[in-house]
Amino acid sequence: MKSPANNETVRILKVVPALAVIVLFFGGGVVFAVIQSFGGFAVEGPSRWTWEAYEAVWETAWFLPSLAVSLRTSVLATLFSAFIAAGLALTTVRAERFWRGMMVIPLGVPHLVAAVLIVLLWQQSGGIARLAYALGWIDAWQAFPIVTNESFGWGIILVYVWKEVPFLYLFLLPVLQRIRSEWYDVARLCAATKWMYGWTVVLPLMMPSLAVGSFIVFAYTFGAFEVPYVLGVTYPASLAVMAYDLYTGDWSLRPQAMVVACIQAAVPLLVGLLLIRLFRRSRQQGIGW
Amino acid sequence: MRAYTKKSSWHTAIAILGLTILTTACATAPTPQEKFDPLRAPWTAIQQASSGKTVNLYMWGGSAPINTYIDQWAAPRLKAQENIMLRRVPVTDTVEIMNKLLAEKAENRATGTVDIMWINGANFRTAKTKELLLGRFADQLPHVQQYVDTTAPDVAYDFGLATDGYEAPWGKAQFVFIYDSSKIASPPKSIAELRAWAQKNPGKFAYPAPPDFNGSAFVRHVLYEVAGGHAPFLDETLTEMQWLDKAAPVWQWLNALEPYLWREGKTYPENIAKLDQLFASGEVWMSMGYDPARAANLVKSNTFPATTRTFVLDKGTLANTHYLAIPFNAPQPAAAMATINFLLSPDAQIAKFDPLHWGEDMALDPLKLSEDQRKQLQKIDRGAATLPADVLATHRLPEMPAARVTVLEQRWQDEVARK
Repeated sequence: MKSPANNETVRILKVVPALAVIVLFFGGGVVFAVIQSFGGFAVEGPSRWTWEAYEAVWETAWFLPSLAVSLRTSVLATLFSAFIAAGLALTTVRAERFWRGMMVIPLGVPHLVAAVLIVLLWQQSGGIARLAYALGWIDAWQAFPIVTNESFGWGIILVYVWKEVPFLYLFLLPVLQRIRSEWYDVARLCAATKWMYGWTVVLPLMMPSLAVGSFIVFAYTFGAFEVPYVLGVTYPASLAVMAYDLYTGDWSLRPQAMVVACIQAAVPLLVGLLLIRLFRRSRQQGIGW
Repeated sequence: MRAYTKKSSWHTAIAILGLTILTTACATAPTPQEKFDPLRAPWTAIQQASSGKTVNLYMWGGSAPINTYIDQWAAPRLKAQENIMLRRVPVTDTVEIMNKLLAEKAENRATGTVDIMWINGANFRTAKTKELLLGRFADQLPHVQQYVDTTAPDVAYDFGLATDGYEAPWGKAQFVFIYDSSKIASPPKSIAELRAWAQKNPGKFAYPAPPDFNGSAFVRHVLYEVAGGHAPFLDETLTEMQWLDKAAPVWQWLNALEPYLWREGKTYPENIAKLDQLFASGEVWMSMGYDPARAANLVKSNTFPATTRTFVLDKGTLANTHYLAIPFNAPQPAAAMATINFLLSPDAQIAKFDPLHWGEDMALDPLKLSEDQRKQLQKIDRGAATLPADVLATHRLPEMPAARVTVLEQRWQDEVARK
């Protein structure tokens, strides 16, 4: 018989390899980026501690517009995905077999491939425009609305919604399946309408999972490079694209590239901390399981 | 025994030759072998000295057709013709060779391992300025003398740095514009005509956003034409302020073009793949690229329409040449020279030109080839979309220093993309 303490040790030991990889490579990379953003590990010239790269990035013409692109596309993609996924999950929880099958398809497609697919389908000379032209809905493909590579970022949002709705759907489904149908009958006995039941019982139970899932979606879409690279505009480009341009550009721009990378990491970190605070408060109010 | 006497007798012959040519340097050398200076020896002596030797060719090894060309086409023929064994040593990045030689130079190692290396651009700059090279050997090679136009700007300058015979040209890449002949009857012949065409056909022209390699090259074509030719931008006596000042018209020109570009220039294709895709789907009517044979290859794979053709500007398009060089401590410098000479023979270059082997442009001047050799060239089918070698060869412009290219790309972001 193993003692409980021993079991605990074994459990921790089992996590060590995965944790070591994360700490060494991911954590190491983050530390390296932070140090380089403050002028350490200089690729050119001597290393010294300085805010210069942060000031330089702040003073560029592109920083705020790029931040706006990244925030706009990631926040909207997260909100749309969350609403659609929650709605789908709620309406299909009893018939999930078909929907689960449907959702697996976009989940298996890499983001880059999804982005290229959206370009091929939705650009002005793309598949959908050709179809609309063949059906006589538009006179020429030039009449098709521009949804790819336009400055608002609809194309980017479209890819993310297509990719993240299934993710959130599969994230929410097990939670909703734990809700027993008898609870609804009980609520009805207490004279609750369908909407009151949803608002006071289902939503609070679903909220923590939806919030965590949405946070993962936000953190990913805020930092990801390939989708805005393929579907964005030359200017203003998203922060990820700017970081890449700076990183692959002149060596003297390396600290600035790291500044942008650090900002990309810091924003989701702050949002995450905020979320944890909200969680604590809502737990006291009895939200969640 | 017989071989031994033969060998020593020609060693003596070389020693005597060397002594007659070099009256001073030989005096202190201890053995006849070391007295032999391939940079000054007559070609027959070099051929004799290289027979039976093994030559290490260090080169980027990332392309299967290139490796096959060396291993299966060149090596057996070199063995048969010159009795030289060619050993290809692949590297993933040519900088590795530079680092190796720099280390050997620091250690004062007189005999290294690299006989020949495949370089250009920034690596040649490192090699030449840090004195990692054997010397001015290229003009000694009979095939360079006979077939290479050494005064052509794209041979005499390697990304702005004078080659001075420290490296011998091996092959060329050249920028071409790609168009659909079913939509454009006669393509523009200059940058000015290109803009006139774009104005008449709004939305049908685009270039990839620099720092994309090809988009950046397009900007340099505009620069050369609207800012007074390539000379000032190759002139390294100018300061950054001075040459950027001369470059200023390029930004006005590109901004004036912008309303007629694809999507009115509100966005640019992010890379050449996107431009190719827009061209393939008919959204734009031109593409471009630093590879004269790419359009033909994409026609072959049914990506581009069969009516796709390419054109160059009357004043020429950018070309860059890649070279073969010999390090300062090559173990077999004479055999290295003989090998490079072999690789520059019309036979080797014509085979390399054939898409069956490698498919890239010759370093030789096609006009200096014989009638037969030119016929051989014409017989090679590079596809209807690829321009004939002599058309490409007579329309070449030199590249500017690589550091200035980077500056230009950054300025494009400020002056064009963000305006």
